[in-house]
Amino acid sequence: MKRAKEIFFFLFVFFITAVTKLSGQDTIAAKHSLDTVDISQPVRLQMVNHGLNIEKPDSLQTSRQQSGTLTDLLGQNGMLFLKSYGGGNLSTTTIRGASASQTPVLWNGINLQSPTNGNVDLSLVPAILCDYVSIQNGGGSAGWGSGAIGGVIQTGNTSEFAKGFGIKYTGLAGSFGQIENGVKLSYSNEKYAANIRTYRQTAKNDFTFRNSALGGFPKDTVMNSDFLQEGIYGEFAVRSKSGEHLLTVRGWYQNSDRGIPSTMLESASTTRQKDEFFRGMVDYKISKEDYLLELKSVVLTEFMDFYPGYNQPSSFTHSAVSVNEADFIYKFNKKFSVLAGANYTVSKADVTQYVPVTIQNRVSVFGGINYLPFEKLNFTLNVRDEMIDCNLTPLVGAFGLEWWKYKLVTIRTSISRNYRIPTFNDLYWVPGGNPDLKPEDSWNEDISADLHFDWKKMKFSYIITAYNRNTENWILWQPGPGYWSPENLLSVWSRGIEHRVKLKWSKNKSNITFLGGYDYVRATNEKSKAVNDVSVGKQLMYLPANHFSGMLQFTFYNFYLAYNHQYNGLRFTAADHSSYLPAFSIASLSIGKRIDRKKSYCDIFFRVNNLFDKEYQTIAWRPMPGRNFQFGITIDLHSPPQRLKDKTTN
Amino acid sequence: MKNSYLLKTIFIAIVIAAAISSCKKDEPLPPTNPGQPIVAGDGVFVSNEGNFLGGNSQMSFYRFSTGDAMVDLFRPTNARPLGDVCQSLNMINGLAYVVVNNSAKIEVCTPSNLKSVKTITGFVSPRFILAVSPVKAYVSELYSNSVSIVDLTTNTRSGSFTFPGQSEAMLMYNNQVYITCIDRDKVYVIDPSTNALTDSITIAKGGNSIQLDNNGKIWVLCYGDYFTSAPGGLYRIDPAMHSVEQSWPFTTAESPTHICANSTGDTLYYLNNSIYRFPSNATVAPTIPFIASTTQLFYGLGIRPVNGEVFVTDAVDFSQRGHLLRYSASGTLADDDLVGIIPGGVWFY
Repeated sequence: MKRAKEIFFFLFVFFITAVTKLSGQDTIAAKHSLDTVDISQPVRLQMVNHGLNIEKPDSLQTSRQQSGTLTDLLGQNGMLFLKSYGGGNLSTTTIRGASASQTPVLWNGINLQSPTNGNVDLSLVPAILCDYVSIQNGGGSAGWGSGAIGGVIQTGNTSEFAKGFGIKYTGLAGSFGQIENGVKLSYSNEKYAANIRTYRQTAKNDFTFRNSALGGFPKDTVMNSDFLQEGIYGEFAVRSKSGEHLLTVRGWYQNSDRGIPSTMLESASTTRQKDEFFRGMVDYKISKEDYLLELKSVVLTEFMDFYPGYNQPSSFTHSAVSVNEADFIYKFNKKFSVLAGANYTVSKADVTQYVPVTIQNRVSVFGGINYLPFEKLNFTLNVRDEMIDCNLTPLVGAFGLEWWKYKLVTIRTSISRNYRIPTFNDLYWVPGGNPDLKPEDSWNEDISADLHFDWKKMKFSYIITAYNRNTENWILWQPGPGYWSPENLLSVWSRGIEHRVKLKWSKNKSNITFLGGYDYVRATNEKSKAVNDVSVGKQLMYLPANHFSGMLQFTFYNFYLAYNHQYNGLRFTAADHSSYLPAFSIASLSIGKRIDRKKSYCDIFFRVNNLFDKEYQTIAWRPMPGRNFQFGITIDLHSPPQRLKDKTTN
Repeated sequence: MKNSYLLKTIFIAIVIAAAISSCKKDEPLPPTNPGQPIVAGDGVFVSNEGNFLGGNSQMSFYRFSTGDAMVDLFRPTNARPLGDVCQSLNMINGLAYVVVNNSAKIEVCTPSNLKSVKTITGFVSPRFILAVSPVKAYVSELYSNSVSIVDLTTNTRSGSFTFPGQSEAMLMYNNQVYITCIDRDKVYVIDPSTNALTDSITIAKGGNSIQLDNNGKIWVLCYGDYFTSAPGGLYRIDPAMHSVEQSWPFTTAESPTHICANSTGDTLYYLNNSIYRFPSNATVAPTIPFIASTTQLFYGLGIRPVNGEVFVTDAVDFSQRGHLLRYSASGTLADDDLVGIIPGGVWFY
């Protein structure tokens, strides 16, 4: 049945192409070259991502996602499968069957993965700080270093100049005691731009669920799942008159406190986790006609305190990372540019379970070329090598090719070698840490085709990607007779297909948009661990082979109505496939109104999450909330730009 | 014209890709049958811990008569899962007491089908249960620095007494209860009539199992301390003197567990990667394995009382169903059956 639907869909695509008067302009070429430079984002983005499919959440959706965290933003969007402990608790993602630690989250180009456990908790990244979000499917270690095996989630902040005074308030109230408030104050003129943001989110998450672990499946309530997150972020940017020099200073402090609820099979939990961090960054950019330079100095400090309760010892994980990075792009001409860069990272951790304080020095150098031999072809090659405490990691690289024909079609392909170095926990945990671990070594091959066409009032785009990835020396913690210990054990073969479709019909001030995505991934371990190991050739645990997401939005003047749907196929919870979590579909419905007045706007929405009140779990025995409601408001006020104009003409 | 050719090519590629992408399916394994009622003397219960927080612990039963294992007894009978981390089973007054560690409970079941007749709650992290009188049982606890007391007439937790650390394996001999302690280098002696701690004997840390032999001596096996890399040891204790008569050291890399004996108590066995055995009057530790592990992860061990057959479990990688291996008394493999995830305990019935 699913296959029939898919075939029907392709026939539909084919039909459209046959009857469509093909249109498109050559302006698309600009997208592929360095002519149009957006220097508000890390400059390396322009050099290293060619040949890969980069997805951005639709702007329609992100305007409603000013509150919550990256978990909500990506979850609502449905593009990725999220593994969540529910509520505001730990949530991680997987891209193409890679582990969470093989899927880094970058903040303004800096990897936020903890040096201790290698993870980024998406619930600890508030949406109010995500000025942009993009998802790079496919390995990217040549560009972004260790960890970028499955894909990369990019987020960060952009400074806008000459906008005058601005005040933005975003608020959200929802079921289970969810209250969020965020304020952003900003001022900018031609020379300076500053903004300060502060936010606070709380939730009780005391939702009821049917406890299938108890006889008769009685109603039960989640306990000890409260969530508090508060933070402050400040940014100051100054640029030269010509706009060629830009200096940005960013500082971000956040504190969160969460109860870790018990599973359905445990007795009441009193476990708590407190996370606190400070992230600071100084970023200096020069963008001249023929070159770009970016220098960055970053400090990331993190405290993760875990209090399991009862008589179990608390565990304290403190880490500090300092990153200094330089990127230099030289443009010989419009067709040929070169990247050279270096990164020096010092990581330090003080963790209850290791002795003593651990320090790691990492130096990496990277470089690349970008060449457009003719108007319709772009070719990139990037390489990187890293030295960790005087040990050289294997040379990694990426080769990307893009070919396009008008706006109609773009073909991308890339081959890359990627790596992930073992975390401090892997190396030093007592007991079990294994200092002899090698980095994970992964090869990624990718090919995708984008089709875009406009027909009357309809815009259509379709992207299909096929990929293959082989990861050797995959680090896995294995039980021993006494304790667990990590080893370079698995050889994982991942392959799959991704489909993305976007259809937009507009007339006057109304439009209908459909976004759809379907991912098929098969990731299997190819190496036997023991004589009785029957997991070889079987899909990895907790990885849905099929993931579908769809959104249908109607916009009628200021009003909008959006329906989101996602389907996650069954996930095995045992390596031999003897147990699994069933497939589930969840949907949400939003209705809202957006009023624009000059540069200001106000957006009010009401949303029903889990519309059909489905029972599901993304992690075994961790209940997820049933139908719930949210009401949100965003007010973004800007002083009229008129006065600014007066000033500049004086 | 050229464009439509291109589009056709792309279309064909897409159809092929879509066809490939939906061809291979992973199907879940079929569930196992609960089968016939269990008869005393016909088999062995295997407690499968399941993954910590995974809620997939199970109780299996292997029948000597048929040579088959029923993987999951509890859930089909009781229409609910057993719990999180099933640690042990003990038969008391004709009932099976199933200790479920991370669900902090004991399921009291009729042994023939594992139908739960009572769930005892109120524990912190129970490990093992031992009857110290017809009406009273002790339950060792990992994280409470106490030992819980169960009233066997009502099957309720009636109280507890303080204990210096993490209580683990228990043995009653000559009206005294010996309790090992994981985080201290001691075995403690308790008077069951008063619940008072009367004495302690210094051994290594990580005391995980305790066994009485045919000479009336008590053997305690310790794996040491993983955190400080303190080595473990095997100790023979004289219960009359409360003193260590003989000790065999292990290296820090070794992690021995499961000291146990045959029914006469003249031969003892333990796990240290492989299975080792020695006569109770041995004065030197065995150096050659009795049954060597190749790549199996031997995790639970028991000796069948009637004939000395050796039952050992292979926990594989902790993320898939394990195996129960049956060896003859002389060490020849006789059977190999699938059980549940992380089979940790072998309990003869």
